[in-house]
Parts: sequence; structure tokens; C-alpha cells
Amino acid sequence: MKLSILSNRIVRSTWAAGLFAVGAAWAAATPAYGQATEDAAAAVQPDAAAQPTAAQADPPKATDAPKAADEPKAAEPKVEFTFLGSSDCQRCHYNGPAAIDRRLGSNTRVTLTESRVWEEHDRHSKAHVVLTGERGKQMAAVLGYDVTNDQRCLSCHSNWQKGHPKPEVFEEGVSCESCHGAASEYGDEHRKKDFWKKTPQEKEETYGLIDVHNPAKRSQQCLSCHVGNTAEGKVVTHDMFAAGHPPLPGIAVESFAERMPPHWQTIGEKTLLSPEDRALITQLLGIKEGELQRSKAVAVSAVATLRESVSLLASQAEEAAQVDGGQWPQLAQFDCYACHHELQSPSWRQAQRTRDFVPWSESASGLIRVRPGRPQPPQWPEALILAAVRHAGESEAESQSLVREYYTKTNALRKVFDTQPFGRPKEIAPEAAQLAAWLDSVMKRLATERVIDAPAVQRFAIALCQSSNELILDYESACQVVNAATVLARDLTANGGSLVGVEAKMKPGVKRVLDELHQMLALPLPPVVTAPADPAERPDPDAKPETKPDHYEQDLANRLKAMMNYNPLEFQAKMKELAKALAE
Amino acid sequence: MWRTIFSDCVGQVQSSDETTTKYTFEGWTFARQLEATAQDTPTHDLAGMLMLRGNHLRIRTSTAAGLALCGAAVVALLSTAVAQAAEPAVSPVVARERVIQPGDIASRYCGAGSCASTACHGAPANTKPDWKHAYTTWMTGGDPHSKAYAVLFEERSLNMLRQLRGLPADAKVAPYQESRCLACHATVATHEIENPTLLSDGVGCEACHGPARDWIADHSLFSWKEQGPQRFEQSGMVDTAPVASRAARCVTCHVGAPASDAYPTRDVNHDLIAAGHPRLNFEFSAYMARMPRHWDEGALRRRQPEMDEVRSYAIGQAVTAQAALALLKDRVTRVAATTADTDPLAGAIWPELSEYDCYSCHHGLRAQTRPAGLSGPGSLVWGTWSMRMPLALAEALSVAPAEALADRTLESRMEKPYATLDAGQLTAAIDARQAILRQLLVRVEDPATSKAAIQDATVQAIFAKPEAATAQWDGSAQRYLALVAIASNALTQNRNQVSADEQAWLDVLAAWRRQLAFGTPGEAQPVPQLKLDSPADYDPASSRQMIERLKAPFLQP
Repeated sequence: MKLSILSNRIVRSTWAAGLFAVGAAWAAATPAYGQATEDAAAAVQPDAAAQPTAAQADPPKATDAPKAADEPKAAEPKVEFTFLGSSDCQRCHYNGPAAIDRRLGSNTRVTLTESRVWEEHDRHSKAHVVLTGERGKQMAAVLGYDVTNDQRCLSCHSNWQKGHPKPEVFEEGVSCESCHGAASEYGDEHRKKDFWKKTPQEKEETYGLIDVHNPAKRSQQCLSCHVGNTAEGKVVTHDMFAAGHPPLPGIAVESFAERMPPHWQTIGEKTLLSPEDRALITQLLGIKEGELQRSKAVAVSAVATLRESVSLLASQAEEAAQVDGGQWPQLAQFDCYACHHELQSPSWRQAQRTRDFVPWSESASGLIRVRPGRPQPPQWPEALILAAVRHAGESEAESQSLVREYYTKTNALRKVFDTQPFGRPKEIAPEAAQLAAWLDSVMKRLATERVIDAPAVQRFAIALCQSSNELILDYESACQVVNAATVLARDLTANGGSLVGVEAKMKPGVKRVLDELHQMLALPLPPVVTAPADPAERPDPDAKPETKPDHYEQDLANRLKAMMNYNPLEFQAKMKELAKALAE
Repeated sequence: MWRTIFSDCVGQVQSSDETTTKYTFEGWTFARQLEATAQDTPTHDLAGMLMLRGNHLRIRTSTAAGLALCGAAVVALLSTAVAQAAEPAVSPVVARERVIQPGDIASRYCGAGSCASTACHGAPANTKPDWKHAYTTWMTGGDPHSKAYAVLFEERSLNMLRQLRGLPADAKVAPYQESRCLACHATVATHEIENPTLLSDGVGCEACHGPARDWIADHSLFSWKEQGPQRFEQSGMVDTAPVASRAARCVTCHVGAPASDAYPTRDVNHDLIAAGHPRLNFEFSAYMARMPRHWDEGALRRRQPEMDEVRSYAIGQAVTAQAALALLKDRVTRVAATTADTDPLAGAIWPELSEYDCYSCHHGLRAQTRPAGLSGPGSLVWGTWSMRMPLALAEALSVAPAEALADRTLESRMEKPYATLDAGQLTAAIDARQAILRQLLVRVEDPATSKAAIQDATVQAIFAKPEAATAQWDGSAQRYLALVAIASNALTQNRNQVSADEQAWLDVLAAWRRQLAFGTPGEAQPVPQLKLDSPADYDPASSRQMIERLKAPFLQP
């Protein structure tokens, strides 16, 4: 039932509500496909006859797909995709190749343990269970609705998006289909032998299998919950926070992915691929020579994160502006810590207002600051943006002009919050939408036109350290910088390959400073848990899954304590050390 | 010389007609009398430059009286020049509301030095009666009012102005020349004056007792008191003996006040607080108790046998709440007049966040949430400091019909600041509440209302709805202060007879105070060298326990 990601993207990047309505009309006009049938189970056996059929069905390669994302085509009925639940996926993607190898022969492209990694290690599998815990009960009591069975909660804690019927299976939390797309169309198809050779565009448009190899798409999937998305009904409100919802930590997409831990392999990790298969995958995914995939994802997701954050602000302001006397401020759209901090004197928050900035006019650093007492949108989505925007330019001159454009756009948005506390929604919506559209174009350039190879990553990492010395960053922004720097340093050391043993190979200076930074911010280092490439080392298919107690309540307490004790000057001193160690 | 008062107003000409040129500056509207002198007009730019130099001179010399006179003379000269350069020639003035007239404001003040003669108020500190050392005590006895101007030179004040005006950290700023700051930190609200001691005095004698030019001679004569109460009205001296009249002086600064003839708007709003100004949380009887006494308390008590600590407390509560509402109403009316170009020191904004409980937003986030406030999760809570106790007193004394007392329209209008401000409806709700507060003040001031009745009402107000009362720090702190008023009443009456039970009760009260103090070391205390300005460790449950323990003696018949 999910709208195709294509039409969704149009809505997000232009904020044209009309387009969304068109998309919704398509959806309504198309009869829903049936739920999973018993036949699906029987179809596990790959059908030899199906292969030529699939090949015949291959449409011409959609080489102009990026262009299509910019200009909506004339309405063409779209297939509605429905959620089936993860039990079908677990048939193949749980016990490793051993079970399926008997039928398929060796599979070198995927580990086939994905679902098991998700179930055993990944908190996404607990997303619905947490709603039934103590905190969930308390929230339900305060909010006055059943949090285990309400669309406002299940949009992120399960698969129930706004405007769609509740999926039959919703207790699995954030499961396979939450990110990969509802499986009604690709569930059977993708098991066929040459399905993987189709283009990502065809897989997504025809079959609903979302192209999560693409860092921009992948980020968007993560951000729709971890930042929010009005169209999909994924919005955490201030009421929810006040009732007990933990504050959303600023998401660092690639770093959070490393903590999940990954149930996938980067192209560098797929060591068993035949040269022909590797060449085809590289071509299909548009991977450039020498590019470090994790680092590229850091840069692309940095822009995507700010874009989604600003888009959410735009859509929330738009909603408030449309209703006469609509509710504004939506306090959850503002920086939590603008208000929620103990009052102190002297305070670094006030130093943040005067140091380096000339409010209401452009200063040397280009940013403007608004008056004291005017809460702003969260700062953390901006923490990496300058380094990322700079890398979107082809030449130094172009980079500088992009940075200037960024300041112009972002300053226009900032000024809106200067007139009165929380601004006026009618003024916020257009400025935020403009900034989001511009960021979208920058992200596309960064993803498709630039090559993020080892020297570029080195420059990117050093630029990050420097920019965090120029500004006084808050706790969440500091976490962004450290998360990004860690991924970059590890990816550089592993040269895009497996991260197993990477800690031992890192420059000792870099590793020491990174460890200290993680300790200071109470950020656990991402574990290195990757599925072994060699089938012989893969887990025993018959062993029972290991369930560990989850310490998220304790993690939350630690994080909030670190936040209260955070001192930006100590952080700056450490970042100076890191810049030095990286440059060595 | 009067013309020099606002020589800083190189600002906007609002309108100009045949007789008057009106300026808006720092919330003041005033007119100028102008003379037609076409000759010797300097160029505007030159005048501007000299002007800055003149101001600079004034900063340096403001503490040295002799030089200051020179400075003032320079400024006077220059401002004449500016006036002539910038304004068209017009004929004399028509008086308007809040129009500053020659000799009107600054010239009516004499300065604290005029009171300081040893034979008058400058006697050594132990001289009896106490009013003889009023000046000495104010100046050297630890009264912060005499240091009010000096704080404007502190780094914190300079930074505040930089933040409000949006200037870089090294910009030169002069909060000691801003009438918005001077309005509460000095005796007069302008730095362009002949007598600089009116500034360097800080909040001097005349800030509370009224400008002295018209009574300074008379009030030292034996005939002064024989003139009766009308002497105050006639002379402009403020009668500070009645508690309500005294409290009304305090609240103009310690709560805030709309613009008046003598002062611009006095409003410590959220912008000022965010820039670094401390929050105003005024409680009359506590502040009076802490102020070094420069008056003859014994004589006051003998003259007012019906007055005691608790009545004084109740009057203070009523006056404070009235002032808070008058300021709110003023803020509402000023919002409409505020634009993006309004000086950050002068405008009014909405929502005005300083109206709310600071600590319902300003608390570090915890893994465990605090109990929900009175208005549901995540709502702003209004009037926690100045409105709850007077309303509870009004209820306990039944000063108005029950439904009027139970009316919470004002609260519900204020606790939805996100809705568009409806000035008309909010103003109506404010007026309705003011009517109740006026009734309360009449009732508690009336000697016919017995001390016992006021004490009973106060006790009732303190212990009613303990859960709601202690949900926020503000509620607990106000109740603590009310209990202090009750305790000091008891102690004043029988100073040497504190029983063991009473002592135990006082110890609990002291323990509660320690709990309520800011920066209590504990789990929530951040980096130790930082001083907290908020109750990070405030725990409603333990405050509630305290309330229950303190309630025990009042339950006995």
C-alpha cells in the first residue's frame, strides 16, 4: 500500500501538497493486491521456467530515472505494495546459506543471515515490544490512548503509515519490510535466479524493493522515523516527549547503521564474488572506482539529514499555517536543549550567542545568530553540513559559492525565528521548503557527480575537526562530529573493506583520541559485528538464537548525564588533538 | 539645559507638525521645543562624531563629579548642535501624555547626597532613632540598592547588551547609558543630566521616597508632620509607612511597570533574562526582612498596632500580583506596536516566556519524567510565582463570589500561548482577576479583618492541595516564604520563649530551605565549578513530605 518511493520523493523535495494528492488518487484508484497467499510458501523452489519469463519481462534500463524524480510524469497507475511480515523472509535470510544452498547452490552476494542478525542484535526488532513496557504504560496513561495499537506510535514502531490500513502483522517492530519495502510484489520475484541483475530502479518501481544500496535512499528510510515525516505520519510530538518518550538522539545514519549492527556487506566486504558478478554489481549500483562506500554514505546522509529535518519543519509549519489559529509552536520542531537545560552562570550557551557571530548581519563565519531567548530548530542536523556542502563542489571556487548559497538560504530561515519566539508558521514554511529543495539538489550532486575516494575522505575528516573548532557545538552536534569522524577513520583504515580487526590497524593517536571522545560523550563505540564471508564460519543453522537483555534505559540515563556534564571547551581541545593525529 | 536630557535621540522622527516634533526612543514619546537658529549649524556627520566623543567623555567622568560637569557641558553644547542640525525650526510645544517638559524630571531630583548630612540621615549607624542613619545604612550597611548602578559596568551587564543588540563579544557597549536599564538601576532613567550622582547613587533615596526638590526643605521642619496626609500629595513625597504604599514602590522595579511620566517601561522580559539578567522573583516580606533597616521599625509598629508579619505578607502578595497583571496587560498592548525594527530593549514579544514557570522548561532532561503539571503534559505553566498564593488567599477569605474566584479563564488563555494572541479577551480576563485582587487588598488592609483571620487564611492557602502546590519549585518556594512570615510573627511576639516543639518545627523549615536552595550537590549537579541558577535537584515528593510535617502543629485545635 506504500506509495512508490518516487512519488514520495517528489512530495518531499518540493512540498507540493497537490502532487501528494495526485499520488494518493492513484493509490485509491488501484485495487489492492491480495495478502500473502499459501502459494507463496510453495514458491520457495526456484522455478526454472520462471527465469526466461523474468528476462522477457525486463523493461529497457531506466537510465533517465534521476530525471524522472525531478519532473513528475503523467499519471500511470502504480501497483500498491502490501506488507507480509518477516516470517517469509526468515525462510531464507535466517540460517545462512547452508539451508538454502542445497537448493540454490552457493550464494556469494548476500549472507542469508540477515534476519537472524536483526532478531538477535538489532534493536529495531524490539521496536514494538518496548511499547508494552513500563515506559509505554506510563505514556499511555498520560496520553490517553493505547500506544501499542495507535497509528501515531505504530508508524515508527511498526509499519502502519498514515493513510494506510493497519498491516496484519504489526508486532514485529521495525522489520525487513520497514526499510526494504512492502514485499507483496518482490517477495516471490526476488527469489528468481536473475532478479538481482535488474536495475535498482526497476526493482523499486515495479516490485517495491527499495534501493537501500543507494546512500540517499537508505538515509531517507532511516530518517523518516529518526527525524520524522509528516506525510507518513511519523511525527513525535512534544506531548509524547512530555509523557515520557525518550528524546530522539541526533541520528548519524552511517554510524547508527554500524551499531545496528549491519546485516549486509559493502562491496568491499563481498570477497567471494566472482569478477563478473562484481563488475555487474558495480555497474548496477553506480559505484565509482576507488570510492569508500561508508564514507560516501556519511557525506550524503549528512545532507539528507538536514534536508529531512528542514522538510519536517516545513511540513509541520505548513500544517499549522493552514488551520486557522493552528497550533504553533510545535515544540518538538525546536531544539530540545534550547529550553531544556539547567540554568547556569557563566554559561557556554550565552557565549555561543556572541562568540564568532554577529547576529542579524553576516559575520566572518557567515552565520547569523538570532536574539537570545529565541529557540531555534535543532542544531545537530547542521553539524556536518559545511564539510559536506564543500565536497559537493567540483572546484574550490564552486565549493565556496555553494557554501555562500548555503548561508544565504539558512540565514533566511534563521531570520524568521528572530521576529518572535518560535516564529510565525506562515513565514517558516516557505523558507524551510526552499532550503530543503536546495539541499536536495546538493545531495544529488554529491551522490552522483563527486568521487569520494581516500584522499577526499582524509580532507573531509580534517575539515570536520576544524569546523568543530570554529563553532561552539552543543552535545548532540558534538556526537554527530565524533560519529562521523569514527566512521571515516575506520573506513580509511580498512580501505572500504571489512572492519574486522580495524581497531588494531588504526593509527594509535587517532584511536586513542576517538576512544576518549566516545567516553566523554557516553557514546558506545560501534561494535564490529559482520557476518563472516566464508560459509564455513557462519553460525550453526540449528542453534537457538541468543537473546541478550537490552540496556536501553541505562543507555538513556548515561546519555542524559553526559549531556548535562558536557563542556564544549573540553570537546574543542580534543578535536584539535584529533585533527593533528589525522593529519600525521 | 533640559534639552540635553534626550540628546541621544538621533533616532527616528515619528511625526512633525507645526508646534512639536515627536520622537520615539526607548519606549518614550516626547516632544521637543525648538528654536529657530539657522546660523552656525554644523554638518550632521560632524555632530554625530562629536556626540560619540561626548558620550565617551561622560563614561569616563561619571564618577568624578567635577569632570562630569565638564562632560555634561560638552554634551549639552553638542546636543544643541544636533538638535539644530536634525530638526526643522518650529515654535513652542503642546504638552502631551508622557511628554518630557523642561525642568520636569531630572531637575526634581536632588541626589542622595542631599540627605546625607550628619544632622539629617547621615548619622553613624547605631544612632537612634534609626531614620537618622538612613543614608549611612543605605550607603555602607550592605543595602544592594546603592550598588544598583555599579552593576551596569560589570561584564555580565556589558554582555547582556551585546547579546540584545547583536554585537560581537568585543563591541563597546554602555548599558549605563540605556534608559531601559537606568529605569531600575539608577534614580533617574537618563544619563544626560547635570547631576551625575543621580546615576552613581544607584537606587537612591528619591527612587522610593519621591523626587525631593519640592519637599527637601519642608520635611525637615517641625511643621512638616502637622500638615497631615495631604502633604504627600502636595509635595510629591511618597508615604512609605503604609505597607501597601511601600510595596507599590518596590514592585515597580522588582516586578515591572508600564511607562510612566518619570520612567520608561520597566520590563525584565524573557529576552533580557536569556541575555543574562536574573529572573525577578519578588516576595515582599522576605525582601523587606533582608533589607538593612534604615527606618524606625518600633515606631512604625506602635503607630500601626493592627499590622503584623502575616498581614504585611498578604498585602505584599496582593500588590505583587496586581503589578504582575498590570505588566502583563502592558505587554499585551505593546506587542501590537512592536515590529522587527523596534529596539530589542523596548519592544514586547509574544509569547512572553517570562510569564511562565522558568523551571517547567529549564530543567535538564531526565530518564524518568517528572509528574505532569496542572495543565497536561508539555504545557507551559503560567502564574506559578505571583498568582497562586494571592488567589488562594482570596479564596480562603471569600473576597468575591465563589464562581468569580473559581474562574480560571486567565490561566487557560495564558497556557495556550501558541494560539494567536487575542488581546481583547486576554485583557478582559486580566481585568476580572484584577478586580478580585483589589478586593483582596482591601480586605487584608482593613483593620476590621483580624490578624487571626489573615493568619488562618494564609495557613489554609499554604496547605491546600499539597500535590499541586509542590509540583513545581515556584509553588514550594512561595509556601516556604509564607511559612517564614508566620514563623517570624510568632517569634516577634514571644522572642524568648521558643519551646522544644517550636524549635523542631523551625528546624524542619530550615531543612526545607536547604532543599529548595539552588546548586544542591547531587546526581543532577553538573560540572562542579559551574553555579546552577535552577533547582536541578528539586524533588516534588520530598517537598510534599516537608509540607506534611510542617502542617502538624496547625492541625491542633
